[in-house]
Amino acid sequence: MIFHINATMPEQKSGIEHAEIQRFMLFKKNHIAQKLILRDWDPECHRQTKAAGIDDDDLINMFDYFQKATIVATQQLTIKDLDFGVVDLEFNDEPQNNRYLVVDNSKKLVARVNYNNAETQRVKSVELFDGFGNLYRVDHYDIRGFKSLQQWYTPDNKIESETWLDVHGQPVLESFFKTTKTVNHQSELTRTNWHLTFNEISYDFDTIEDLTIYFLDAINQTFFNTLEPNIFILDRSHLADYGLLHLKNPAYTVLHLHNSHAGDAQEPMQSVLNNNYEFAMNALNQYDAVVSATPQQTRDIKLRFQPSVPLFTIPVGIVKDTLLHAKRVRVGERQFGKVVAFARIAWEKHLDDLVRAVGIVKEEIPEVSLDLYGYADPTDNFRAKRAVEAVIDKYHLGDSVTMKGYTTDIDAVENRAMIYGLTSRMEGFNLAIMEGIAHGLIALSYDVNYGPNEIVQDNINGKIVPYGDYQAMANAMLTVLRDPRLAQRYSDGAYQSAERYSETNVMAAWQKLIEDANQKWQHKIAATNLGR
Amino acid sequence: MNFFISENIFSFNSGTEHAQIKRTKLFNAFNDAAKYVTRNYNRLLDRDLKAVGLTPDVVLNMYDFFQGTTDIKRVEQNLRLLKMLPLDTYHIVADGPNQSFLNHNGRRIATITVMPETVGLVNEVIFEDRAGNPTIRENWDWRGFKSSVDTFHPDGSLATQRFLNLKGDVVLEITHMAINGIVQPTMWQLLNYRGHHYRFNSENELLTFFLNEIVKRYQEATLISDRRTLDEAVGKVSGAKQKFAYFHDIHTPDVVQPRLGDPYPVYEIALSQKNQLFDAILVPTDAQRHDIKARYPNLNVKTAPDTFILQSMLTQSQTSVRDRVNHRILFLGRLSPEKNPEAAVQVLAVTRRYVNDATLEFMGYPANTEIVQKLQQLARDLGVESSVIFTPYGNYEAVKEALSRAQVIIETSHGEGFGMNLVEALAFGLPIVSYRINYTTTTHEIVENNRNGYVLPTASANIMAQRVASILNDPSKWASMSTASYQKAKFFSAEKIYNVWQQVFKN
Repeated sequence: MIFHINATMPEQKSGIEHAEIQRFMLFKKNHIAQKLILRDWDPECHRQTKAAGIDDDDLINMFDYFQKATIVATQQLTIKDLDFGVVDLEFNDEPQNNRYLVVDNSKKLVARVNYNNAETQRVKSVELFDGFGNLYRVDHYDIRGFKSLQQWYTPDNKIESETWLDVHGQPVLESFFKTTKTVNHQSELTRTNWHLTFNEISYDFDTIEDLTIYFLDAINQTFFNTLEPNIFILDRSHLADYGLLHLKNPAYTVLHLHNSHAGDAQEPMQSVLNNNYEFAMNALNQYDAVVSATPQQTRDIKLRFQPSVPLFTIPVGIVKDTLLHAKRVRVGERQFGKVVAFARIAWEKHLDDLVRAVGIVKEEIPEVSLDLYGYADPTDNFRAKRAVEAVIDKYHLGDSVTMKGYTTDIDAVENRAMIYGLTSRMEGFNLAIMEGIAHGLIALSYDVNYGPNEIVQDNINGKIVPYGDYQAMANAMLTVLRDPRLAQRYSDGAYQSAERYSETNVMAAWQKLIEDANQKWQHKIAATNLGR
Repeated sequence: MNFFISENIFSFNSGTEHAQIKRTKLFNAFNDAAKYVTRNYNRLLDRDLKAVGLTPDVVLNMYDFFQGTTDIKRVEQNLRLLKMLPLDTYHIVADGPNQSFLNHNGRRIATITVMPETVGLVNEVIFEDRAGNPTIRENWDWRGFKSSVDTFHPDGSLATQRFLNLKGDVVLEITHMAINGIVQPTMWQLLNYRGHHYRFNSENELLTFFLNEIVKRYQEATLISDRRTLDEAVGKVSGAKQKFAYFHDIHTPDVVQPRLGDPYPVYEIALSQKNQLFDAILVPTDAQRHDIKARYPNLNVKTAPDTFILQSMLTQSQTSVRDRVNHRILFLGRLSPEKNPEAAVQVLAVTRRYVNDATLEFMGYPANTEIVQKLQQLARDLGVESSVIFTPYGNYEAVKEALSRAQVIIETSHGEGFGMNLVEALAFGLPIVSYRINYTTTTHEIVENNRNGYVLPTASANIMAQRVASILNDPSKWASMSTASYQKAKFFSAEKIYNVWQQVFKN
């Protein structure tokens, strides 16, 4: 059984979730036994995984697992289904606040019932007050219609403990906040303990990481098979980079890099390590395999760490067969001078450089335009977005550059555009530019690690220009826009080069890893008493 | 069915509980089913009720009722055989006879305390975080099942108490929050009781709900509130055949002129002429009845006996003076200020001028530790230290032994609703020397002056000592007074007392 480990599957996904879902779907198509493991509690989990195309059968959320709520039929829960234990209640709807105020016959507040929206009024959470006006608890309801989490309050209105319930409302997992002191003697409430009652046995854990190890052990034992190993693919290192090294039973553990392992991807040999991967890179040989998405990254890891475990280069992006075999759009049918980028407007994407390049190009070719697709990162009061806006002002690009926001309608946009531009400071792979070439977009990119300088093949499907050189980026755009034949050659090359990320090719790369796991399995279990 | 309602049965019970225990036994002895009902959570109740000679079938606790654990037989649950502890992961390390630790790789994750008076049976499992703060405390019932689970606020005070059924499901929950800045229980919530939740702002609101449920289940329920703290809760019950409030004590601090004195505040609910929550107020003596009637003419007040003497006690052979400890004076009762035990020491000191080998035995559990020290100090000051014996308060057998070895019992209290200690003394043929106090010695019911003892109009230790000495120094007087006490005891026979009760219920 293959397990993909992540935290949640949120509505707004990052590249990690996109890569994971693509892999999941590829494995599914190839009939590989697998489960998606989500570690964090999320009352909307099952709506989101369903929207991502993942069946409840193929999903194990850790909290669900302990709550025995892996598979629960959904029922719409509204205020009428709640029992407050008080008679003669009045329910005052406040649709502008998406909630009801529940008061007793002396107008004393009994509860605030928060719902999702005024139409369906599905209960999301209930704030409960005792007979003396104290908020003593907030109950949170799972999207499937059962009470999932109780948050208990201190008399001075802070969360002091959390209780997760099974579908019958009985406590199974509790977490506690206790007073701790900082060095300057400030008191604060810190989460200090997890207490699990599972199958009538009590367990105590200091941290959620400890609890996660117990959970992964349970999963590993449940699906244990002497013939083939359980393969754990860790997609977010913080969840179990330590835990996977401390399982009771053997398994095949895979560290999957989704980003540069080096803090400065342009200085892969010297720079401090990406904090997310620092532990894992230092403990590299304790995993069974390491996956990176590009040969460049694999090479750099080999050079810097000289690991003894096998390194696999497996693209995190997959170009679906349907896209690969879709009708190609000739450059002449596309909007001349239309440049697009699909990226969060964030510091590391450095989109203000892309706008600068377009500003330079516009001086010669007024038809040039740029559409940016992606939501704006709010960090530092939308610093990245403000940087983009400043450049738009400086080059008077108000009519040529548009921030379009997030879209899922990639085909429509990319079949009309001409160029995909990328000026990032760093990358882990960049699914977007892969999608770009798969749609025949001419790829112009900084020479940035890791992904863009692999996906873009210089002079074949576009141009790689020096890192941080927006003048060079402008020149590359001008060269293409001046020469229709060159543009068509690059576009043809783009379609062609997408073949590298075909389902067949990516699956073949994974098969090598699976074969390695299978080959080593008999040796692994021979070292334990489990194989007998 | 009769329900006698109180807060609890304790290891050390006061006269109220003793009276209620005896009444429960009396009714059941005459096949008039009665239950001793307790409100308070007490997971040692099964032990405590047996210690006072009751059987589980005549005791009904509110929490047990909602937990569905009223009919559970005791199983000894060794702490090392708890199925909930994964001993392939944790170590149990003993720390003396009273507790063990649950360790994980050297780090303590829980303390397991041992059930009192047992070897290795589980009492509590107290889990803690890495800094030793308690997180969850699981409490076992004497009968060997996990009964409740507590959690704590960050300051260590109780946050929630969850009460479990045998399956381990939470059926009742108490939340502790602040009222005017003071953290205390603010909510009792019944969960899924017959399919619904019920919320209560106080334990007594829950008690009323509970008693209503009881009244529905048993036809013709008669309820007696034996504690003033419960009067309101019992008074609100509907559908009972009859409801009474039994006053075991004097209702007013003005023990000398009870008619003039305002009642103690806790008596006001039962004494309210406007609300009249009860069919009648029951008091042990006619004197108290008259006093209450005089002040509250609209209330129905009846006399109902507070105690009785077992048939076996009445027919036991009499203990002669020679078989007793020579010149032993007994003080029987709680050692607390209102019982005035200092006077007993003074009485002894004076008595010893006339009877130089007189001794005094205190039997009663001390209200606090200082009071014993104070009595010892007084005895030292009066030079009788070696003649005062403090017998630890024990079960009824120990009380009987003390009564059998004494020659005289003295009563120095300022007031007694009806001194059960003196009635007990009658059954053991003890001459009684008492101050004249409401409502115990104002009539001849227990003590007849000069016949089975002396009643002193003034509270004077000197005079009491002279009376005690006159009995101890005169064997023939002792013999006639002892015989008189034995005879008086017959008026308190079970049969006679039960008949009185029947009359009380009838009218």
